[in-house]
Amino acid sequence: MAFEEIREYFSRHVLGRVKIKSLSLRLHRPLISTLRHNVETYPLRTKLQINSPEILAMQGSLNCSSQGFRFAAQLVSVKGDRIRRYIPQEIKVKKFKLINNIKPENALKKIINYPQERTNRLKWQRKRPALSQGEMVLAYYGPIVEGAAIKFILNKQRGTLLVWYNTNSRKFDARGVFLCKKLGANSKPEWRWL
Amino acid sequence: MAQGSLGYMTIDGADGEIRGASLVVDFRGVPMDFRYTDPIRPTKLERILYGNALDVYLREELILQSLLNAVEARPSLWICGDLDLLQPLRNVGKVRAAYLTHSAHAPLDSVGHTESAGEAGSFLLQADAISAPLRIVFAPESRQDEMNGAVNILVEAAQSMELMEPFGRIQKALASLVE
Repeated sequence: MAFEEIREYFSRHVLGRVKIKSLSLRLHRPLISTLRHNVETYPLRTKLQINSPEILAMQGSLNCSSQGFRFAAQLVSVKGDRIRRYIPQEIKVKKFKLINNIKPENALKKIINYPQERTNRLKWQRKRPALSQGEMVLAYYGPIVEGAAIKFILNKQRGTLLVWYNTNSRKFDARGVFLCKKLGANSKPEWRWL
Repeated sequence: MAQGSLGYMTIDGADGEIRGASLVVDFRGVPMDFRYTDPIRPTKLERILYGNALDVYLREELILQSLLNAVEARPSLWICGDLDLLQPLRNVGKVRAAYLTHSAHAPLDSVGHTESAGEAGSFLLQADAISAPLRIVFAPESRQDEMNGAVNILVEAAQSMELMEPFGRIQKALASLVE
């Protein structure tokens, strides 16, 4: 009531020209902030992957960084061990066997059945066999140990002669053989020993 | 005649695998001893641990040593088709060793004739009368009598066999063993 009376009193004195407003005594709730902050952290122990053995030959220290922050190489852990500033002389690895023992196989029984291959050496052989009319020399193969040879096959694709030897033979005297052919469709090639 | 023998040594690497073989033949080319190793494929870890030394270790220490230890027929002369193998073959084999390859040179004057091929220890050898001379290389520290002895062995063997032919037979045998 007192407020209403005071307002009326002033209203009469200023003849209603001034509008008087009342003030509310209600205060605004203050803004309260917590002191607790969320802090982002980045670990300095960064995983380092070594992809190349060249690192072993590297001189000096490593340049290490994480999220732009540079730090010493000693802080970096590589599979449980720290990178040292010297080239390691010995590396111990569990459950690993170095290549240190191989046993050659004996395959004599296999290769002994392989034929020897003789190439055509006609261009180097100055001697020629006696030829009848219409006969020509196609190739010369040697040296061949005639007494030890048990089979010949002419490899027509490669122009070579495959020779199988009797491995029990004691003959060593070698000769050469000419391959001759008479001109004509029906004639067969003929072998002539030199 | 012809009591001697020749040993052929080859160690090849392809597709990350490496294998070796040795063939000892008499002077007719008839096999007396043939050994081969299964292909060795080093793991990634082994490549890291051995680094650049891996190839040398596998070829010279592991495969070559194993083959030479296994061979029972000791040849009069070891022949290799890979120049890098010559020195270790001579050192480990402790017998005469030579690198032998074909040449496109014109025939020399006579059988047994040698001609310097430029580098020290490298010669052209007319081993027989019906082929081009072969190029033969000896290890740098080889003595003169050692080289002469090797040349005589090759000339004698060339009378009854083709000197380079056994290399082809080794490759064919290895190829069939893989199949």
